Amino acid sequence: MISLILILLPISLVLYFGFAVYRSPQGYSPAVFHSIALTFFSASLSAILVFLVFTPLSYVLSRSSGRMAEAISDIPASIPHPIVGIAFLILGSPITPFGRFLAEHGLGFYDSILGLVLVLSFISAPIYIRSAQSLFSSLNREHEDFASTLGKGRSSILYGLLIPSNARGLLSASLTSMSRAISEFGSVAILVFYVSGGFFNGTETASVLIYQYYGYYGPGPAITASAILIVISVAVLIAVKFLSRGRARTESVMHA
Amino acid sequence: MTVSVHIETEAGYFRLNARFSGQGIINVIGENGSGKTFLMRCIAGLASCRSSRVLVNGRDVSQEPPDRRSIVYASQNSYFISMTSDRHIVYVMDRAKYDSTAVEDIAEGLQIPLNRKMSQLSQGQRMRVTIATALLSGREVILLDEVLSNISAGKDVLDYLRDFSKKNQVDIMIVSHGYSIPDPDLLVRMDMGTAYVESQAHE
Repeated sequence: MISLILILLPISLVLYFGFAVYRSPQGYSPAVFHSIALTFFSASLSAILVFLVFTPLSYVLSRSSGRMAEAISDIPASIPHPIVGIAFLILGSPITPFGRFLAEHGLGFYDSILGLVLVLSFISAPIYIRSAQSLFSSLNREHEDFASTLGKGRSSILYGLLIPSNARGLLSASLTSMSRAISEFGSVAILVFYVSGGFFNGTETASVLIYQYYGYYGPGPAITASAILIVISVAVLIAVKFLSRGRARTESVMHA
Repeated sequence: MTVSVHIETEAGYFRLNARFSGQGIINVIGENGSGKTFLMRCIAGLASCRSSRVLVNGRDVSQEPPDRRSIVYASQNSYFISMTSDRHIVYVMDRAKYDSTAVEDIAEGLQIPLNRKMSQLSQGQRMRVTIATALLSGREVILLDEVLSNISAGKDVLDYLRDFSKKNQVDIMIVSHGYSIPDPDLLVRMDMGTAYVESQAHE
């Protein structure tokens, strides 16, 4: 109970001050809503990318004792995030062959949606891998043994059986990684302070915008904007969980 | 068609020693802990064995991975809960060998309710679906590890297996605990990891 209060106390404080005490008009400005839209857009794309790229890795990790690979997949969680931003900055700049390759194709990481989505994927991947891996580890292997002796290879078992029958668990893991991406500040502030060009031209992610507001205008607008972000995040997360539960209830038992 | 097993291996203190060869309906019996499941998993390639030689119709599959041995291993958990029963049956069906009449035939013969979610079926019904899936997979050897234990009045299933085995040249190994099935073509008893051939029908 106390542990729940520890989580709820700061959140309710932000909500109370944001909506009841300050109610800053600047906190409700279109800039805030643009920025929240950008935040959700980039965080959802990164969650999808993380799902596509790291589900197979999580499966392999759960089925083998690859301590080396496991350690590598934990690294992003232990690097200070501004450093991650700097690393992506260098990777995407013309001083590396990869950066030159991007530039030749008119792409880049700096202040771009591409950079934003990739850096968010990088920092949220360990969270996804951990929960997907423990989900796969908890499954009864006999289903897979049956499928493999029926002639199915590993990837067919993963994509044809395990992902469909564990869609709900994997979705929940994706949502956790998306939440992590929504809240990311350090790497984004370095790499994509604001997006330049395209639909989101001149827009910052919510975390950066709130930080900026705090610096320019003080706590009022920052906390009101934060409160709005919290409400929308919680609403989206609850909505997705609710939708997926409705669909999953018909399949009462969730294993392969 | 024949399946030949020659396995000597150990897992911790447990020593497994099996040497037999048979065809048709092969019944493997033994007490808990006698090594029946370990033996089946070695034959299917799911457990690692130090020295094993498994021949399926003369072809040595000992070095093959489980998906290329032509041996199906089914236990009480061998079903896919997210599928419907008919999707399950045709999941790996050998379409060169069997068609939709085979599906209807097997559903009728094994009394499988079609168009039902696996999650809504009883354990016994699920095991019938498992058997049908294994039979239509076109694999040459089928290992049924205690799969028949949950099936009430297993005699109809047993008769169906016997017919299917004769008609389609499939060898079926049935593991049962405590009792032996009537008239197997080969009866093997496992005791403390060692396989003893109790009786063998002669052709």
